[in-house]
Amino acid sequence: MVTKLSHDEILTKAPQLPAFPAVVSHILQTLDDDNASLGDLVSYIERDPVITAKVVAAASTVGLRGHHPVHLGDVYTATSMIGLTRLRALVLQTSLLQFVGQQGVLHFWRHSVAAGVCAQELARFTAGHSQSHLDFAWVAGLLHDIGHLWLCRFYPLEFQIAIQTADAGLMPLIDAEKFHFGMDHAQVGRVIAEHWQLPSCVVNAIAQHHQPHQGVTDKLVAVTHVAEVLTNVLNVGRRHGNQVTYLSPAACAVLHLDFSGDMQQLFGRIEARSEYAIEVFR
Amino acid sequence: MTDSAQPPIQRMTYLPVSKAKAGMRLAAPQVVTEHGVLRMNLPLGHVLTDINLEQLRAHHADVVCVYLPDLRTEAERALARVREETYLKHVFLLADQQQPLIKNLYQAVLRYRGL
Repeated sequence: MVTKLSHDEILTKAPQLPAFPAVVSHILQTLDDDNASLGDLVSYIERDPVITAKVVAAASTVGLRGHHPVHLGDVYTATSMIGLTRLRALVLQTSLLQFVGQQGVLHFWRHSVAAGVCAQELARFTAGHSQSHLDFAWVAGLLHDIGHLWLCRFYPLEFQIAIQTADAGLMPLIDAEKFHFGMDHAQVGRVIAEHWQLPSCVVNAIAQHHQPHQGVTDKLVAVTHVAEVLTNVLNVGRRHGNQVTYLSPAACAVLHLDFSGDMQQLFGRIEARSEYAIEVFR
Repeated sequence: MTDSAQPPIQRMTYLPVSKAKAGMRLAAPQVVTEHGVLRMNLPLGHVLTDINLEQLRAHHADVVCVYLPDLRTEAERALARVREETYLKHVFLLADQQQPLIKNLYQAVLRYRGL
């Protein structure tokens, strides 16, 4: 069955997804703010008991693993020991797991976390990126496939058929999605990201993660596209049906990325960090 | 297992700090900075101690690069290469495999896997 999705239908159904965690929106608003205070962020985290519990547990594991176990009792103590940057990463990852967990599609979460790590490492590897760029890369990687989540939630049967078509090698997944829905998951993701009022750079990265515009100059778009490719090639998210149909020369050029050079450090860090992130939050 | 007369090849491997163990030898310098301040600097070839590992964790280091023995035999390595190439060919099934970028990425992954 062929369905033609519309912008309005996507927006009408988007509220039926679980509420996008408010703390994520808050973090996104503070990424560019060097004066963002830890206390302010903690006050947001503490509004969500599930995230609070997970952040404290993760902080204990990440920050204090060793010979002297310490039991952290509150978010402020935990966060002050792990620092603002790591706290943002922990909260984003934990929030997305909680959000995705309600959909019962944890394989989506594994791929997303791996892509987030991959995007951040690429941004670091290709240099010239400030801490806020690394944070945006992490967010864009985590959320790049949010359109998949929408399709999977509201059209599970048709989405499964599209996946099987791609798995059989008949056509790329985005073409199969366009055939079945009239648009692909990157376009669906763009509509949702705009609806959530995510920063425009993140919206662009989500919209173009499979097919950056020719002559792309936006580094976040380039990083997210190449991160998606590397996540699949290195199989770091352990997702069935990984596929790469296109690698943009323009995106690689923007990042000055040359795969004939030494990739040991980039690939090694991506695998090690992804493995650890997925293990800690499983 | 490898021939006992030949010492195993040492492969550069990146590990989460949580999986690093005392006695492992660094395959790359380990530099840890926080807010632009140098916190730790361990040189290439340094053998990790329990105290190093505790300090790395305390300073939030996430990854270390160490040498680990590659205990695969030639036959096992050849099998691993076949598996990796099969996987990569499947992943790139619908891509233009003649595109230089794709070719370079393909080879980069094989080199990274030590194949």
